Amino acid sequence: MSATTDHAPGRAGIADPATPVVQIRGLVKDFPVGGLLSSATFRALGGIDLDVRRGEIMALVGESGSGKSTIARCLARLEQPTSGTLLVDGVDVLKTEPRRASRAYRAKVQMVFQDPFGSLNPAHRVEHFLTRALRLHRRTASDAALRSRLAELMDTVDLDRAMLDAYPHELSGGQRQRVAIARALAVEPEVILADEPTSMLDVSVRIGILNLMRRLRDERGISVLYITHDLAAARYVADRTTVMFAGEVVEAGESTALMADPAHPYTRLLLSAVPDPRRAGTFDPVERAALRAQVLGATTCPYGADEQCRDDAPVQHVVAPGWTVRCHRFRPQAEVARRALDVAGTASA
Amino acid sequence: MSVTESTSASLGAPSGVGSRPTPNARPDLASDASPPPGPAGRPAPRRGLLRSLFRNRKATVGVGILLLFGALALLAPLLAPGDPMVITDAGSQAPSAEHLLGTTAKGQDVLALTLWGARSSLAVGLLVGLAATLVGVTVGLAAAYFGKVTDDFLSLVTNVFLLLPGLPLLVVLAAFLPPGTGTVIVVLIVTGWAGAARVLRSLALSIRAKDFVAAATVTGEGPGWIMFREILPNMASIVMSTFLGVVIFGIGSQAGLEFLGLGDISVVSWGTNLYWASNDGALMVGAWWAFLPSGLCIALVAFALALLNYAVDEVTNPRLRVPRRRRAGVRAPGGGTAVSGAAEAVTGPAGANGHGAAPVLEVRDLTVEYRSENRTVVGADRVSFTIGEGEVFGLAGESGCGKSTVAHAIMRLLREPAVITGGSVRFCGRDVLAMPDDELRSHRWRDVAMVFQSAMNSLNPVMTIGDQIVDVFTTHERVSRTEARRRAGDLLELVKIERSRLRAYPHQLSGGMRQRVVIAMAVALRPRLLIMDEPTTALDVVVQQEIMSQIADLRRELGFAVLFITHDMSLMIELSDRMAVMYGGRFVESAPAATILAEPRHPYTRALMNAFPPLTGPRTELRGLAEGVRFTGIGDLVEVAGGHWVAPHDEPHDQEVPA
Repeated sequence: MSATTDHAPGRAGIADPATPVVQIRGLVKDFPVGGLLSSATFRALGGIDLDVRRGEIMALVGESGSGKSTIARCLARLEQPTSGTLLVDGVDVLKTEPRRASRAYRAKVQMVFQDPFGSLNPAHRVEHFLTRALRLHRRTASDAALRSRLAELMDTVDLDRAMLDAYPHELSGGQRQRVAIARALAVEPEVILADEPTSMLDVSVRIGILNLMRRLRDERGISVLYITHDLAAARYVADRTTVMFAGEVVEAGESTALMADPAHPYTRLLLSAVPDPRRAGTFDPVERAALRAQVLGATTCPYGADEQCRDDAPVQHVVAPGWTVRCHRFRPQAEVARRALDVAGTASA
Repeated sequence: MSVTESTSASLGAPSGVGSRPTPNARPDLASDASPPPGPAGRPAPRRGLLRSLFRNRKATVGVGILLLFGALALLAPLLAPGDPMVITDAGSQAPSAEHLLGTTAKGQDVLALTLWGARSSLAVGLLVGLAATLVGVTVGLAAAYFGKVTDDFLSLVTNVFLLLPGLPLLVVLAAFLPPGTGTVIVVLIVTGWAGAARVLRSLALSIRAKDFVAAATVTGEGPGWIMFREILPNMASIVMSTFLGVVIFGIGSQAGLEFLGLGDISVVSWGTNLYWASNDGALMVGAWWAFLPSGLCIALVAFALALLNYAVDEVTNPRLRVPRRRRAGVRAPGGGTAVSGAAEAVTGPAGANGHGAAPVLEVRDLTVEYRSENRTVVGADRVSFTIGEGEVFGLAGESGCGKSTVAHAIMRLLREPAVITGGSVRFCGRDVLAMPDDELRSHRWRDVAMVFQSAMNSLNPVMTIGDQIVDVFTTHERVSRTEARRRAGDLLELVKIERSRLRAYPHQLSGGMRQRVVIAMAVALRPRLLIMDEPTTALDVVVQQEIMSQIADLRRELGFAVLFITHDMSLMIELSDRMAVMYGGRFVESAPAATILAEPRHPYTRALMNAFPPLTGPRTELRGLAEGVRFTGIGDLVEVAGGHWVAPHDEPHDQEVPA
């Protein structure tokens, strides 16, 4: 497996392991709303800052409509951002290739879609998807090499090699999603954008896909931006978690620490709503009601109906190293920070 | 016809039974209740089209006629009795042994003219069909793929060509260009492509929006490849029927133009045959043989093409070939008494409801089969359980396991091809399966109410919430509208929605609020059992939590029992008193929810539980089922501890996922 070899000789020496593979700065995306003559827009992303480090799984959680998929689609260059900067390997890609993504960019950033029933063309066999990816990116020299690479890819995603001849409709949802992952892997990318890859799958095979993502990170050092609405899955698989609400990042930090004691009221609300029979003690309904009023109250402002929030953007507080929250209501407390550090310490141990 | 039409249709019958269109085709499940593996929600793959056409009688007849004409045209020099252009003295002769179809006024042999005419007519039709379809495909694909300005421009051009009156344009163009078959072809392409382009553009637009196009873009494919190799293959059937339509148009219009004398009248074609017949006054002298053969040929070819076109439609749109249905849905009333009598002896978790009191619902050995013409699939296989007064009973399992089938059977909402073939359903001692229709109508909603997964979308969009709730009261109870209105307001307040919202239309409420309205309507008549089939699956987690806690409040207040169906084990364990896990139509485990949480016994139960990792505690590696793993030979439940029933199982076929 040549995942670690540098396959893009044209790339300048930017493979500094300390530079995050993806850096998003101030990403804004407006969608036009209304009719043909209307110039009204809807702000789906209101200035996102987000890093994906090398060899980490970063979970992006939030409810439907929070803008998390729009981030992935902007990164995959399927949507054109309204403004902002996308740095991949430190290169400002919206400057260097403003209209269409180059093939070299595609070789670094791959995407796995939510619906494996829609993301594989029903007219082609499994082999076709993988072969095209390999050929387009010149990952194989000879037919023999192609065949062994195809077999290798199928092995990596735990699929029977005989399935290369199958059409998508002959496969189950989980098998199709593994084909989609194999297609992404074929170009040996640095980062995979996984947009709710398990939400359309039967529950009994979901964990298998999450385990596959973990394995790709551990064995190949592939970074994953894992988009999900499932906090439990995010905690299970992701090193760090970013919480989004209404097009804004409200909190980001190490997954277990963040979920053990969230700093932002929205994160707390979200966590309190996840059913988990193993959780000790149920969430206090009074506190939940207060949170709900605070977060989803009179305005849709993520920071509550606070006058201050409407006037100026909330400051980003650092709760602990690598853990940030944007909220006027947040008051840095030495106690909170210490506890967070403890949790982070035990989690990484 | 559009892609979406054929799409929804191909989801097939069992989804009509209420189990939601299963996203996961599980062809490997022997007793899967989901539709047979097929092109789940997509246009059939290309390779199937031709093969299916071969088996279609309309297609065979159409192709047969076309092949016959093709052969006649090709073999015209051999078959025709002499040169059609030879003018003889034997003018206007009726059909005879010498001239099988008679002669024209100029003494030409009509059979020879008809045979030679086929060559020109078929060739022009084919050429026009190919060229106009090609232009239409290219324009349609380019407009759909590039969108924006390209689409605006191409759509404008297309629409202009569509708006131009066809026949006058044909006449004008044909008159301006030098006469000849080439001119006719050009004119027909110019007037024929726009219709094809518009149909194909809208189809391509819908395919353009699919994820596989985005996936190909991300892989690095260019526009040409995506248009012609990704989008086009999925348009095969529509391209084919468009082509056939244009061929009909081409043959008909060529004949029309030539009949008007706008073609090259020195060429032999069916159109010029008609022109000469008309010119020679064949109609007036009663020489029917001069024009009938050519006219009949045109009609026959058009008929064959239309037949073939219809066959393409039929093959790609399964709704058009619904198999013959038997009257089904429920077995004859009373027929199951013997079965349920025998079932008393069967052991199961049935008797052991946690509450001891007489059960609200008692299901024994319920068996449901989906019968199609060539096979029978068991949707539920000897399912037995009871629900006590005020108890919450959970039914967990994945799509296609039969849990919705059970719910629908209890309500007797199953529609063909699903048939209850055995067992009994008793509600407070009454045999539900034997109820006559009028009793069943009052039984539903008053005794047992049901909330579906997408119920919030089932509210009537043109009626206010208030009117819809009032309808529930006025149709089931003798109450005045004012009284009904007052109770509707109470009901809304019960689910924490302001009374004033009675005047709101469904679209003015959020999804969560609509779902709460539906729940309020379900409990309006104080049923003793509420069946909830994935009531919150389409909702966000915060809304889900609110609705679930509201249902708990309602239950405390009204005291109904709940049959709760979901695939979310965490949610189910939090809410249920007892629960059962279903797989392939059978129960594999049944126990109090706390017991399932503490010690799940069946490997399938464990796999389901692992899909929902904990939010607290250490992160440990969890395992699910490997792809393709299946359990077979699931036996009857055996009690392993008090109230804990597990089906004996074989080792699953296949290994679990390697870590």
